[in-house]
Amino acid sequence: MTADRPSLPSRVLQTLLPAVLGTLGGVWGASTFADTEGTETPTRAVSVRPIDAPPVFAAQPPPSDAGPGRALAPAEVVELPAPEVYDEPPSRLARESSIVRHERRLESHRQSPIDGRWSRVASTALWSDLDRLDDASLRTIDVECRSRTCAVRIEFESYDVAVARHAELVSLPLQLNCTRHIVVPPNDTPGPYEATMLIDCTEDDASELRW
Amino acid sequence: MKSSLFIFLGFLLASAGISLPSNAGAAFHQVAGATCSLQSTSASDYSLSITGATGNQATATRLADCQFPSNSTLRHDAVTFLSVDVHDATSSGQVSAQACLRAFDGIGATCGSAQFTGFAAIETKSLFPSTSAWTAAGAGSDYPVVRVSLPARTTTTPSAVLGIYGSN
Repeated sequence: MTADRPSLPSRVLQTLLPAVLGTLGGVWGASTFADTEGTETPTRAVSVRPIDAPPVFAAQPPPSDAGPGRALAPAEVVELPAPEVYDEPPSRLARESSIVRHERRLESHRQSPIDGRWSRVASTALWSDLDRLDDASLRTIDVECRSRTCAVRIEFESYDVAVARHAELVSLPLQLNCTRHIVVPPNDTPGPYEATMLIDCTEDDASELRW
Repeated sequence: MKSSLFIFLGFLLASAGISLPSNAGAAFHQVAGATCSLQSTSASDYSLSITGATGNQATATRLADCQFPSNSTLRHDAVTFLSVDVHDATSSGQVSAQACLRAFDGIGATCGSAQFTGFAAIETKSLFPSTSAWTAAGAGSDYPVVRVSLPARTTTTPSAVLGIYGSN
């Protein structure tokens, strides 16, 4: 009694077909589901543009195999491709002024709704902290808190004092331990100088508030 | 038929596996020693008593601004994890660390929320300040700084910044 065995071609097909299908499926799956984001080596974006410069011409040496009886032609002129100018990456060229960015943040703050409870607690904490900072060269004029942001108006003795001390304000330990922004646009006018510091808690966890 | 199924699955896994190593190690990181400038007018405030560290010898709190290298491998606006190793040599003060930015046009500053060491312990600790200030829209234009507040020296050993680690 011999069992019916499949023929050789059938057996080969039975073995190879799954393997081929498996390989194809694997390659497809890998290329479809592989997380390529982040695996690419970040490259500096360089935009290249040809300049509108006149073409560059260069003299080409005459052929060296010119026979003795052949008159040397005047140097042939060939056109070289226009040089390429590499721009800086767009992010470096299209940088938005700090003043514009700060104005936008302040505008967004002004447009946000007021959360009465958060606003009260934040304002009280800020006044308490900033009062300790007030001295002859700077003082807090106003604190306005809304839902997750506060605008603090500060008067410096002069623009020079603002330049010297603005960095200190963004690092001052505060109960409202959130991101702080300040800009001090140039000002030639002598006398007191006012700047607005924005305190932004939208990105910070409530647990980071130190009260 | 069963063996065919195993062969099929084996090739499926093997083929998929070929592409997996390229996913490994997708994150970049940078390590920097404490290349910091102490915001002080007195040279005697500086201390390097811990090799490579920036310490505060002054009897007042000082801010140390430490450079964070930002380049095409790891731009600061892609850093989502920041670790700052500090030594708090006081049992009454605190060391804090913040991810800050100096405005590229020189007229402003931004600092994220601060992380602090404990009040009552002399300790060497890693602080993990928020990097949200670095990753915010437009932050890529500005210059990253890790700002560390070092309390006044109370013993012979100063509080110090030891080094910085950042990754995406």
